[in-house]
Amino acid sequence: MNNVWTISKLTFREAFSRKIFLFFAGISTFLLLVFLAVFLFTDVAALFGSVKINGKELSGSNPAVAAIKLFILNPLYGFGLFLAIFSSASFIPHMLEKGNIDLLLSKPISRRQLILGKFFGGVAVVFVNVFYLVFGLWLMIGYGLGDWSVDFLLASLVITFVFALLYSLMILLGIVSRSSVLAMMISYLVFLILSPVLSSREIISTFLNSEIFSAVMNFFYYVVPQTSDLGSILNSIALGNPIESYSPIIVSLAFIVAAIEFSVFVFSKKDY
Amino acid sequence: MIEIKNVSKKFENTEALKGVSLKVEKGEFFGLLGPNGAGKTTLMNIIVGYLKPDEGKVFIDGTEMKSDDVSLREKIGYVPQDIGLYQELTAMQNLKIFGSFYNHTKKELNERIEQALELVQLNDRRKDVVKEFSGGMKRRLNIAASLLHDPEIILCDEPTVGVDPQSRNAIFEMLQKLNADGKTLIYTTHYMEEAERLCNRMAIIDYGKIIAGGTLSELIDLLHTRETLKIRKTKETEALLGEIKKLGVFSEHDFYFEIRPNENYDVYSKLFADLETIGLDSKFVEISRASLEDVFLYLTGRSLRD
Repeated sequence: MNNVWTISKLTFREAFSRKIFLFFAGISTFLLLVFLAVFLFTDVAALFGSVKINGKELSGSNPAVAAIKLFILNPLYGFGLFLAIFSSASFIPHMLEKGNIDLLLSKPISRRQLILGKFFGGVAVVFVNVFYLVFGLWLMIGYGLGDWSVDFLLASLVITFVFALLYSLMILLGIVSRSSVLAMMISYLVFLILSPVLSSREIISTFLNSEIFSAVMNFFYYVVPQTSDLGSILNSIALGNPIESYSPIIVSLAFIVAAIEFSVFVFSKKDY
Repeated sequence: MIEIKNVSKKFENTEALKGVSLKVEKGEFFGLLGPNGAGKTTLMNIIVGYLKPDEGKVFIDGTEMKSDDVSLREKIGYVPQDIGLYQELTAMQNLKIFGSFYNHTKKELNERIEQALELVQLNDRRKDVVKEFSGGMKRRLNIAASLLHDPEIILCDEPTVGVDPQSRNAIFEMLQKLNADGKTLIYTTHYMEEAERLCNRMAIIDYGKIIAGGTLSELIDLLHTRETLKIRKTKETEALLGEIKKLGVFSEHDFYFEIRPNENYDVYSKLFADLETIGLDSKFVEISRASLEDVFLYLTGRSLRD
């Protein structure tokens, strides 16, 4: 456990020294300032007062506040994860570079501990940054609109969880290919294209009217990380609404465990 | 202390090691010599335990080294050929990271870092980031990162590659000091002069096989003579080429002819008498003692850097 902690700290420190932290913090601060300006110079509550989504008035204590939260959270979710993938794609390929891997593997540390340390370290890096942004936004919403609901803060946990899901895939791809570009591209493909498409599989199936196609889509839905559905859960949690289905969370957890275990297996079989 | 028994390793279509067996005793400074691609690094990686041999076993103090059992690695300090440091971190931060894999208290680790920095003479650069270091300084810090747990065995895989002469000397002195303190060292190199200077015993490896082993003297005894004659190429010496060739095994280079004499000249007066007999003025001749380079050439028919 001590070794996992050491590698996690190392990943954290690496992110710091490679300016990944600074990059994240800079963008987060910029976004916070933009939102602050919007809050200071516009009547945000009035602006969102009449918003309805899918013809329904938003639930929550104040529909306008709920609309503002969604207006903030959805781009934050997409953009935050986009940046997180970009920043963390090199963690594993960098570790596998000649010299670095030689020195690490010559230490009394198992390959499982190395992978777990990299995983927890990377997740911690993203959590700290996401929490900074979400906490800043929460303060603005609190001061500006008087809504101090702590549910909004849970968004940082959900976004970090989705990152952990994609990061486990990146670790696996990094171990197999040693390529940060490939790990990044496939993660973007899953996050931006595959998951949204598979999430809408029922609608697509009604147009195509093919049982085989539906079965294939269903299969892939449960194999590919369900980032889109987790995005919907993020909205529910942040607004304090009940979660309709826990299935995406359970499937994602299973995916993380499977991806990490498979990474450990491949890593322990490879010669460096 | 270190026993390698019949170790073989294959990578796809390349046989990196073919039945290598070696024994290194406690306190030895053992050299593993061979050209690039001979299998030196593969053997080091197997000794340190993170590369699994296809066949054969490695024993450290009588205990078998297994790739999935990391406890034996605490006895070993491995200096890899490539720099394994985090370039964006300071020397101190790097050492803290690599030292934290061992069960040191914070105080012990700080003491070990101080000692290691002193040994590699980088105390005054502790707060500088590694990417600002020269190649030699990085090499020295790479060595320090391997010594933080005070290992009994130190494996150095070509630690002087790309290093300036001053840093190279500093590394040699440091390793000699460690050996004098009782550490066992295995040192791989393709520079014969390094092995001659540092190692008490050595093995020559080529195409994954140990082709000779012993002390420097024992290896040179493999040659039938201990001297090499270098005869400068001039009109006079070229005119005597036929006679020169009769003196021993002949080879021609850009600026000189090389002769490994048929006879072992314990008394040089006899050699000069022979040169005079064929009419060769001794001012064109340079006599050198046989080196490991000659041994390698003799054993493989190739120069070490071929």
